[in-house]
Amino acid sequence: MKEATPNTDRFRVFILALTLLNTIFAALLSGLQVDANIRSDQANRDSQYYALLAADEVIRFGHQTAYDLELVTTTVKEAQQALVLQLTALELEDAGEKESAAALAGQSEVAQARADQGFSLSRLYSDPRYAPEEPGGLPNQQAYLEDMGKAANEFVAKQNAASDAYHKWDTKADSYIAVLSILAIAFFLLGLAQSAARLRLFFGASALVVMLLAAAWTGFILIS
Amino acid sequence: MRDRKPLDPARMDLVIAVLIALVSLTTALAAWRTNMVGSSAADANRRGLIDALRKGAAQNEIWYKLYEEAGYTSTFAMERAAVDAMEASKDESIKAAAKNVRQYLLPSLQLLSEPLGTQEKYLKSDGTYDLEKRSADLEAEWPDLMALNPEASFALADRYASEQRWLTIGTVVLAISLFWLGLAEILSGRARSVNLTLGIGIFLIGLLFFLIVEIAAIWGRGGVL
Repeated sequence: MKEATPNTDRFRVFILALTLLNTIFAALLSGLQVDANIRSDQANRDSQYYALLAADEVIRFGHQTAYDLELVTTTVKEAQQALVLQLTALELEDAGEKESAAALAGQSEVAQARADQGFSLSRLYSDPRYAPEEPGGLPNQQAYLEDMGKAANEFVAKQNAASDAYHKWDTKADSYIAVLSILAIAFFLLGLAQSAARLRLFFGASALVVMLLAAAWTGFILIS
Repeated sequence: MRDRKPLDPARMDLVIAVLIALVSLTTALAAWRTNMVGSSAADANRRGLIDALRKGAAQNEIWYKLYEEAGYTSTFAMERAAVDAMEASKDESIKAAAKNVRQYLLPSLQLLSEPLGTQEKYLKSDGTYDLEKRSADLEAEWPDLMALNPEASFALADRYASEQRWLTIGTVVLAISLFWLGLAEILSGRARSVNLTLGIGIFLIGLLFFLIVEIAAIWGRGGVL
C-alpha cells in the first residue's frame, strides 16, 4: 500500500508536466496560426493591389499605344499619299499634262510635309529602339508592344505570386486551427487525468499520443 | 517558531473563484484589445486599397487627357507643317487654300491642342512635345489624389499585424492560466497549491508580456493606439 502513493504522485507530476508542455505547445501554435492568418491577409491584400496596378498599367498602355499607333498610321498614310501623288504627277508630266502634274506635285509636297512632321513626332520613328533600320522601312512594332506591356506583365507576375502565397498561408492557417482543436482534446484528457486517480496513466498516455500526433501534423504544416 | 496552518478550503475556494473572475476579465480585455489591433490592421489595408483605387482612377484620367491632347497636338503640328508647305507651293490655288486653312482651320486645331500644343514650355528643342512635363503638370492639378500613398497605409497595417501576432500569444497565455486556476478550484491539498501557483505565475507572465508588447507597439507608432 505504501508503494502506491509515490507512483500516483509520480504520475501526477508527469501529468502536470504534460499539461505544461501542452500549454506551451498551444501558445506557440496559436502564435503560428495568427502569423499564418496575418500573412495570408497581407498576401491577399498584395494580390488585390497588384491586380489594381496591372489594370491601371493596361489602361495607360492602351492610351499610349492608341496614340502612338494612330500617329504612325496617319503618318504612313500621308507618306504613301505623297508618293502616289508624286508618281501620278510624273505620269501626267510624261503625258504632257503639265498643269495637272504641277498641281499634283504641289499636293504631294503638302502630304509629304505632313508625313515628315508625323515622323518627327512619332516615338516609333524617332526612338532608336523601334525606328526603321532603313529609309522607307516600317518601325519595329513587335519590340514596341513588348516594351509597352512589360510593366503590366511584371505586375501580373507579382499578383500571381501574391495570390499563390495567399492560398499557401490560408491553407496553413486552416490546418493550424485543426491542430489547435486536437490540442483542446489533449487538454481535456489531461484534465481527466488530473482528477481521475485510477485511470490517470491511461488518460495521460492518451493525451501524450494526441499531442504527438498534433506535433507531427504541425511539423508537416511547417515544412509544407 | 509558529506552525504554518493550511488555509481553510472553503476560503481558498472563494479566493480562487475571485482570481478566476479577475483573470477572466483580464483575458476578455486582452482579447478585445487584440481584436481591436486586428481591426486597425484591416482598416489600414482597406484604406490603402481604396486609396490605390482613387489614385489609379485619377492617374487614368490624367493619361486619358494627356494622350487626347497629344493626339490633337500632333494633328495641329502636321497641319501647320502642311500649311507651311502649301504657302511655299508654286501652285496659286494651293497658296490660296493655304491662306484660308491658316485663317480658319489652324486656330481651331490649335485651340483643341491647348495647352500642350501652344505653350512654349512643352516644346522640346528637337520640335517634339514634352509629354512627361505635361503629365507632371496634370498631376499637380490634383495634389490631393496624387498625394495618396497606399503603401504607407499598408506599412501601417503591417505594424498593427505584427503587434496583433504578439498580443495573441499574450492573450492565449492569459487564457491558459484560467485552465490552471480551474484545476486549482476543483482539486485539493498539494495539487491545488501547485495548480494555483502555476495559474497565478502564468497569468502574471502573460500580463507582463501583454503590457510590454502594447507599450512597445504604441511607442513604435508614436503614441497612436
